[in-house]
Amino acid sequence: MKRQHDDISELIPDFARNALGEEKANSVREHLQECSDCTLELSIVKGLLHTEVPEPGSRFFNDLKNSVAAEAQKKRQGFLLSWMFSRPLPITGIAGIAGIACCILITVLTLFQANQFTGVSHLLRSDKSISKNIPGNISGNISKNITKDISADITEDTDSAVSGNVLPGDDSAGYASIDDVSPLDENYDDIITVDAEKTKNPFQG
Amino acid sequence: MNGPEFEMNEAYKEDYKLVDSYFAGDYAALEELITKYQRNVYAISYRISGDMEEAKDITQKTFMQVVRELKSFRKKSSFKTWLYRVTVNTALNHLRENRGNTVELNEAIADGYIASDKKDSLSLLIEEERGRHFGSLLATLPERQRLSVVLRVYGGLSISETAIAMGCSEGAVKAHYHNGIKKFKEAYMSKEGIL
Repeated sequence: MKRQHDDISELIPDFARNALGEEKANSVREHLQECSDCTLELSIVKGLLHTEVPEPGSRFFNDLKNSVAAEAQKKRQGFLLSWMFSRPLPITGIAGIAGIACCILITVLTLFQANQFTGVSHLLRSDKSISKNIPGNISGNISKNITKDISADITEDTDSAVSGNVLPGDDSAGYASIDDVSPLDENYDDIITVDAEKTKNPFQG
Repeated sequence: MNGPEFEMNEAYKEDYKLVDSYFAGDYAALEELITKYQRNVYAISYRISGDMEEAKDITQKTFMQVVRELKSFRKKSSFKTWLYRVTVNTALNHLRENRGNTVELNEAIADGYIASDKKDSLSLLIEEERGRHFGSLLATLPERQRLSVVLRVYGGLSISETAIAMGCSEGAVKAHYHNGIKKFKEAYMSKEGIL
């Protein structure tokens, strides 16, 4: 009985506003017939509902909407950034990655401009001078060594020397590896020419 | 459904959609929410404050606060419950700023309540008088009791929703509401001859 009274009592405000479904409304009506306390409460709630608020003026609600909308616009401007970074990929990812990439690019270009005539340019020049000098030096040394080696081999082994076909990569002839000297080297023809001359039988001359 | 006491219905879903639309950049959705609830917020504000000008200030502050804090709305309750919570907090802060620490109303302010029914009949005159009397009595209730009665009776919130709006337990709401209604019953009984 107490349980039902408490349950019904909670429904009285909704019952007074006709906001209950038919089934619940009927159970409240049944309870009201035997409960004077709930009947009194219903009278009080109905009395409270009869109190009304004064109208705030015709323009108040219209002005309210406009001022709140203006506040929302202002808020939106500041909100856009936080919204963007609170979104999952791809919006945040794309925007974030693009921003970071731009920053890195600008930084690198700035540093490159600033260091063009200092550290970086020196390194580049060194690389160029090395690349220019390396083939000539290497081929020069190789051609000298090869000539000596082949001459030595000829004196020791005439048969192999007479063949005259000392080819690059033929280690048995004491020649440098094909990795070191190639037909594209400037001195390659000289090497072969010298070798051919040297392979003539020295005892003939 | 986000909790045992929270029943999702179509009205709640509609409000959620409007909130989502506003976050997607649709200002019309915000205007629709304001239009839908501005009179309720004003009425609640008036019943808490008992003064029209203060109720207007509270209503404006409430919706400004809603715009600022809407992102913190986690949809764990209905939008209406959340809005009423903002209303209650805004009203109490406003009244404390303007009236000091005590937010008690006097009968002169409470007399601002007017009856809704203008029909000229004896029974309606009695109801009108009763309404005026209840309005002044409501204004004299302690803050928590008044809030629980306002939110339950005028706001149409359930016990659990009122607890969310007031930031307290359901048991506390029941106790505040019961004690508030009890004072009305006592006043009703003592003035039974008049009312």
